Parts: sequence; structure tokens; C-alpha cells
Amino acid sequence: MSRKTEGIIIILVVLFIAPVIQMVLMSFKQPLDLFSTFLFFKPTGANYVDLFSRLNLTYFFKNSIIIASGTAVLSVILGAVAAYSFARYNFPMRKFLLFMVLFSRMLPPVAGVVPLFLVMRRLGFTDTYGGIILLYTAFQTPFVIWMMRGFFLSIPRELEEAAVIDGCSRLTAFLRITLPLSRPGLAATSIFAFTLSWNEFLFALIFTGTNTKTIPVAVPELIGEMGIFWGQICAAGTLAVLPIFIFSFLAQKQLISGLTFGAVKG
Amino acid sequence: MASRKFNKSIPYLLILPALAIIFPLLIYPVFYNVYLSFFSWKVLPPAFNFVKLQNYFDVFNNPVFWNSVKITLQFTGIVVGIQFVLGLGLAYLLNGQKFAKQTTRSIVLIPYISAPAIISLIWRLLWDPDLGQINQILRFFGIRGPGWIADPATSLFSVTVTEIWRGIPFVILVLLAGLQALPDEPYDAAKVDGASSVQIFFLITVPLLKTIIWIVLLFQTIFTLRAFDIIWVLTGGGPGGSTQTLSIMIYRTMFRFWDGGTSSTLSVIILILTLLISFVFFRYLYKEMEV
Repeated sequence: MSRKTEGIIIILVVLFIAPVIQMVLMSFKQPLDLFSTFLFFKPTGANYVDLFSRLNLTYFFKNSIIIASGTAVLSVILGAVAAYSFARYNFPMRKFLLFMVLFSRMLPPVAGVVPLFLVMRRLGFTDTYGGIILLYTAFQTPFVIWMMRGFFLSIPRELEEAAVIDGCSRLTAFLRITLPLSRPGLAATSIFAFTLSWNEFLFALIFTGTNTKTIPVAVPELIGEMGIFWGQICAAGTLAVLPIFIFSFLAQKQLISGLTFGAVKG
Repeated sequence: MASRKFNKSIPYLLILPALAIIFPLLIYPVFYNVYLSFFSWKVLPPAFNFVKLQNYFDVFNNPVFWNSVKITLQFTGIVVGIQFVLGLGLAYLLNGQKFAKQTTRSIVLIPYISAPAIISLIWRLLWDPDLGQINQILRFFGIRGPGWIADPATSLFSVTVTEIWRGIPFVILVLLAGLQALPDEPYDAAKVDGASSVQIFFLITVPLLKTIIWIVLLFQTIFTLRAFDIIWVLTGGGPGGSTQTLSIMIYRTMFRFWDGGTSSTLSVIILILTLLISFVFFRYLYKEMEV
């Protein structure tokens, strides 16, 4: 590949990502500079300070962290256990159940808002951490099952069988051999589940309230009657994107594979 | 004997906790929703009457519904079409890249893995008729830009462009993964035979990528059909209903007008659309699962 093509790629990537760069730049601008300058301005941290002192975004970040981590932990535990069963055991309903799990995840969430509204209300789940975490877990677990099944399948079954022959129980064989080997898979899957819950908007809009409101719902609300706090919005947006940005560097291949149910290796 | 029976149930016991959470919150609501669509059901004032297929007749006689279907199909068709053509071109370009490969891909992925609600806010600013950078750039060239998201004539265009940008990383990276996995032999043979690069692209690369192209098109269609976040934060379905896709209409019917029956009916329709499309994909996937 020629130098020229490499140059074209760099220019295209920079243009492509310009809106995000713009957001980060604006998050450091004073109100006066917001729309008058592009690259050259005196940076300020005032927008970030504002977020936490005046606009109380600490609270929403806390909610987002609790809900996204809760979902990641719960869905990875439930999903990995189920995935192990799908990967290692052969039982009559295996294929049908696996298919159902996958199929359920293709359903459009928006088609569930009316029945879920009633179900969540009846269960007393609305505006509670537990409720929204359980709801997200239901939606992420199929992804986790599919990703972890792939990871378990890639670990040779013979390793476990050898351990069983040497006198280990099946459980010990799993805990001593398969579990440590699947650690990278568990990490990638957790990142994946965390990202999806961190970004989720529709259910957060409906089922979180004053007690549990997350960042994706709280930040657009900064567009209020008092005018639009673009500087603060950009600062909040930058902070909201930052952890996901780091994750994408850590687990880019697994993200692609997970998003396509492993149909594409990434 | 008892222990053998226990051993046989182990695989089911391992799946049970996952199913216990997936079933009530993911599968049951689908059926419950179909049931609800046969009722005239309002939250304010409370009412719940069995009306058979009346909701469906009402919806099919509603011009707002048909307009919404038109917007949804237009939006989905254009978004997926352009994403595919551009995405394939860009994947092709990135395929030969050697310098900073992983970094480029991670950067390209950012719009896709960032919260759509946040992404929409950036674009809401970009599309702003007065303050927005898009009109600022046009002004620099002496062009007076339109109102974009604030004008019914251009709002759907703006939303479409935003969604193309947001979703294209997925298309690029999936197609790129496909390109990287292609064998070398057919290319070597074609070069020996003196095929042009255009011929190579359409006669070798595209046919070899067929499966992956299918996957990408189906996924993007399903995901774009249900798009909500981007449109809701950018325009809320407006101005004047000009960007009201089915998803937006479902949400507004329920949470603005509190008309549960109509909203469930619309949900059943979007569900059927999705199922028809995913059926094709799952038939393929089901076959793959044999292995």
C-alpha cells in the first residue's frame, strides 16, 4: 500500500471523527469562545467543574456506574453458566433453547415498551436499581451466552476430561482449568455488557426516575428552558464517552464478534 | 440411580437461572403485547375493553400510521443502502492499511459504541441553523444553509445522515473482517490472467464476501428499523411529524397520549416486520449451528 493511500486514510479518519473531536474541544471552551473559534482558544476546566458543582452530574454518573456494573456482573455470571452448559453438554433441548435465546435478542426493544411498562410497574421495579438492572440483564444475557459459548468451545474439552481422569470432579476441573483459561473471554464479555447498559437510552427514559436516572437520559435534559449549556453538555458527553473509548481499544475484536453473535470473528 | 438422574439434569439446571430472567422480561412481554393489542386500553382515563381487531382497523385507516410507515421504510432503506456502499468502499481502503491498523479501527468504532443519546447531542449542535458548524461552513462559501432539523423539508435528511454516520463503523469493521479472511489464491490467479482491479472486485471479492454481506445487510436493516435514540434526541419525531418513524410513534402513542391499545398494535406490526427479516438470517444461522 502506497504512502498516498495511508495519507488518504488518515485524512478520512480525522474527518470522520471530527464531530467527536469537536465535542472534546468545546468541552474546554469558555462560553464566549464556543462558536467563535475553532482550534485556537484558551482552554478552561470550568465546564467540568460546573458539571459536578452546579449541575450535580456526580449523581447521574453514580447511577450509570451502579446500573452498568450491576448488569455486567449479573449477566456475565448467569450467561457464562448457561453458555458452559450449551458448550459442554449434549442434551435433547440444546439446539432449540440456544435458538430461542438468540432469537429473543433480535426482538426490537421498542416493541416491548407497553407490556414492560405494565410488568415493571406490577413488580414494583420502576425507578429502582434492582429493577433496571434485572431488565438490562434480561436483554444482555443472550449476548453473553453467545459470546461465552464461543470462548468455551475454543478451550479443548480434552483438558477437562484429562483432569477428571486424574481424579478431579467435574466442578473442580471447571474451576481449575476452564475458568482460568476463559478469563480473557469473561473480561471482554463484561466490557461488552457494561457498554450496552451504559449507553442504553429507551428503557432508561421510561423506567428510571429521580432515584436512578442515568447519564444518557440526564445529559439531553441539560437542554432546558434556561437555554442550552453547550459547554457543559460537551463536557458531560466527553466523560460519558471516555470509558467506552478506552474499552474499544481493549476489546475491539470481541465487540465486533459479540455484536454479530459471533457470526463475524472481528 | 438418583445420582444419574441428577447428572442428566445438570445442563438444564445451569441454563435455568438465565432463562428465569430472560423469560419474564424478554419473551413473555412479546406475547403479552399481542394480547394487549386486542384491547382498547387507555391509562388516562383508565379503560380496558376487549375490542377484537378494532385497533388494527383503526391503525390501518390512520393516515398518520401510513406516513410513519413511509418514513420508516425510507429512512431504513436509505441508511442501510448508503452505509453498505460507503462501508464496502472504506473497508476495501482500510484492508490494505499497514500503519496504525488497530488504532484506526478503534477510532473508527467510536461513533458506534458511544451512547447514541450523546452522539445525537453533538449532531444537534452541528445541525443547528444559526450556531451549527454545518451552516457555518456553508456560510464560509457564501451559501445560506437550510434549517436542517428545524425544518420539515430537511429534517429527515439530517436524521438520515446522522444515523448513517453513527452506524457505518459496524458495517466497515464487519466487512473488513470478511476481507481479511479472504484466501489469496483466486487473486493470484486473476492477476496472472490479467484481470483489472474493477473486475477483481466485482467478480471475486463480492461473491466471496456474499455471506458476510448478507449478515451486514440483515443486521443493519433490523437495527435501523428500530432506531429510536438518535431520532428522539435530534427531533423527537418532529417538526410536524416529519421524522416520526414507527418506533417514535409507538413511544409517543404510549407515553404522550397514554393509548396503550394502539401502541401495542403498532408494536405488533414492527415486530412482524422484524421477524420477517430476521427469519432469513436465522435460517442461515440455524444451519451454521449444526457444526
